[in-house]
Amino acid sequence: MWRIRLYQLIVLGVFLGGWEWVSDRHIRTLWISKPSLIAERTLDWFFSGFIYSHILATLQIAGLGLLIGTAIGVVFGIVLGLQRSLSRLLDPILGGAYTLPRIAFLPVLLFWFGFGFRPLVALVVLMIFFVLFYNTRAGVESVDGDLVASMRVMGATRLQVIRMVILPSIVPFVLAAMMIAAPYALVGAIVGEIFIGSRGLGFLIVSSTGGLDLTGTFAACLVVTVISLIATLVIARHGPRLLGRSPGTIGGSAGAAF
Amino acid sequence: MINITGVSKSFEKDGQKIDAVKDFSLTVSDGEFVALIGPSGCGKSTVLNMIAGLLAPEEGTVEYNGDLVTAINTSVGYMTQKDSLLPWRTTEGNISAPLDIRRVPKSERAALVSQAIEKVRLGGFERHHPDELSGGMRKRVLLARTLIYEPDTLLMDEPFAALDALLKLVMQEELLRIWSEARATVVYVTHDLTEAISIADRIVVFSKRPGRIVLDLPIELERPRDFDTIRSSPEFLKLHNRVWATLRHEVVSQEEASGEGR
Repeated sequence: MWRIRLYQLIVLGVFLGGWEWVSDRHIRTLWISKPSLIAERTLDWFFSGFIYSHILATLQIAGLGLLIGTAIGVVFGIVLGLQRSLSRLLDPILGGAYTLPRIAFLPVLLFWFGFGFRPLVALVVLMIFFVLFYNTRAGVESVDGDLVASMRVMGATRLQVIRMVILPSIVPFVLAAMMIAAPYALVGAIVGEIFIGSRGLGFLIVSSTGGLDLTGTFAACLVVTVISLIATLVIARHGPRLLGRSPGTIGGSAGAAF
Repeated sequence: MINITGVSKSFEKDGQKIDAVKDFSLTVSDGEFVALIGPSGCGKSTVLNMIAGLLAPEEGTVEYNGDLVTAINTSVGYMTQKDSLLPWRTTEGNISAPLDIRRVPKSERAALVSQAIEKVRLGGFERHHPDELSGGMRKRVLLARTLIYEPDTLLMDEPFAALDALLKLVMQEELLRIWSEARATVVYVTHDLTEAISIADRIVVFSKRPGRIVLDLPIELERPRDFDTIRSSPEFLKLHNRVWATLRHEVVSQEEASGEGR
């Protein structure tokens, strides 16, 4: 294991060293910047405190979009998971919508929601909605039909079935979907900021590039990577514990008895 | 009183229409323990589902205590072969589910639940989750959950089929002990002939699909029944042979008709 780690470090070192060496000798630093400059800039951003407001702005958009997108996706997932015929009716339409280039809607979102953070949050919602929706629906559909039937015979109303059986059953599905969606939310927020942001990491990337400051561009990308890495590590470490419980018995269908 | 008159129900399988039951009639009196027995796929479960109001007959009527069953019948308790427990709830939580549904005041729930737990002998496992319980214990939880709201009728669809033979015997005895106190009507689907004769007042033998009644036999063995003695008694053997002669014919012709048990 340590041997592979060592080789990985060597590869990285050769890459960064080569970059450092080439820059200014064979290619102008203006075009490709330099690892040492990027590191310096990144550290400077953190020590001066300049970067935090940008990180916060991006995380706010990604986080808010993730929550709203989850809420909408879960509601749609539950409704269509329980209403099979409606689900079948809408399936091709939803499938088509899933393949739409959602970033293309940014101007429309801008038109609808105005400037500021709202169109960006809406973009994140669009980016992650389907992940939440499809996973939630799969979760609802995997709820054991016999379990639902037995609750109905015990006198449970539809709402009680949703509260006592469906909601607890889909928790692991929703959490898993949120974990898959989190990086998309971050990407959505950054891409949105690149186009219409006035702060945030995406804005930092595009404004640095606009000023021909590729050091800033790469430093901002580095920050994004570090945040993604931290998020992935946190999810990998704490995700399984959050999921805890298994999705329960698979098979049958809730819709049939519901 | 359950009154099933001339019901038919079919299913579609691989584009083919299959009659589960056709022009089927059955009457079950209050307090009666009836075992429905027949080859696999003969429509026994379909009949239970219609009594529970989970399936509507295409023809004919199902009456429960004089009322037509048109929606889910919440006066019955339904127990199937599957463990339909809520995996995230403890023993107590699962048993109290019907009380939660019926909005029984919280103050009354605890006493009822602990009573039920005592009845099915699950003391000490109140706070265990289903995956921490053995198969037999899970059946006890299901039984307690089914009995706690005192349904007038218990519908049981091979409730102990998944258990090993010894545990099954224990659970059958437990069921009879509890039933002798509750005195509910029981409609018990099984394809275990020994089980049917041991526990029921009456055996109804289904034909192969589409299910009709080919034999309706009272079991006049004295209660309370001790399985060890009755199973070696001459009456038991006689009943067994009588039912088996009919049942065998149906099972064999069902096998020949479908090639496969299901």
